[in-house]
Amino acid sequence: MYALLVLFAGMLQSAMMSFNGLLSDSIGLFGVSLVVHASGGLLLVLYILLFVRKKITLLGMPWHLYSAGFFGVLLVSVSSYCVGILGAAATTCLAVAGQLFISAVIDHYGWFHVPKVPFSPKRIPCFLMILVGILLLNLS
Amino acid sequence: MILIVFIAFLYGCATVISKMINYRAAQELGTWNGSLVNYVVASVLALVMLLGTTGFQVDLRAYIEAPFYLYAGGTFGVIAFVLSIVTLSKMKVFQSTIFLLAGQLLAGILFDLLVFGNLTLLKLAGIVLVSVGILWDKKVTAS
Repeated sequence: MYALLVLFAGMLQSAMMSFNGLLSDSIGLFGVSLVVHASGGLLLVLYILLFVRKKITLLGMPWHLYSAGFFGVLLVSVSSYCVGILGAAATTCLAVAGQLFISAVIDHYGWFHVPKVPFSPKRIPCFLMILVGILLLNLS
Repeated sequence: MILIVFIAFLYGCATVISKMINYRAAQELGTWNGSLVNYVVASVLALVMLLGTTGFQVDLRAYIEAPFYLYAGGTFGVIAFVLSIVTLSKMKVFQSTIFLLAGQLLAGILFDLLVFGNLTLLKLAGIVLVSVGILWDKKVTAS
């Protein structure tokens, strides 16, 4: 049951990326980013007030953590751009491959104060398979 | 093509950095407020960028003329976020990641077929190879 909900969440994420890509043809990448974050933020405020019943507080963090918003704009704009050219499935695949790669690097060197986890050679065949897949995507 | 493939790859890398910042924000302000910060700052920043790049000449007619259903993206994103948070305590992170990815790919392939109409056999082969490689790697790292 919960697995189905998560599957549905994944489908919604993909639909969001596709819709954003299509919408960016009309209103541009920053327009999409504004609409997505403003509408999403408004809904999240309602959800927090009605269902979580927590007080809304946004202040009091170390200043650099507010860069989350910068990444929000960057990620929505870039994904909207990519999905228009590569399609939704290929963009998702490449993005997850990027996530695996940078996570492995971060873990290996212990960047951002995460516990060091050395790269396991067992993962090399998996990464090679991903690389071949990326090359095919690149040719298509 | 190679450039856009590389950009999509870098986009994935940036997602991880973004997740780490959001995770720290959630530690400071709680899961919900920590995530709301992202939306609020991003809205302000996107507005500034929009005004800056258009020289304060935003074409409002384009916003009205765009198909209305396309504005549902933000709503989808929030529902997906709430679902993933609410279900996370009920299942293993590994399972959650796999099902999230499966849903993304399933819907992605459907959109490519039905909306974008750009799904070739070679591309499908690439998607399958990358997906299997990702799942395989998840299995290796989870054990």
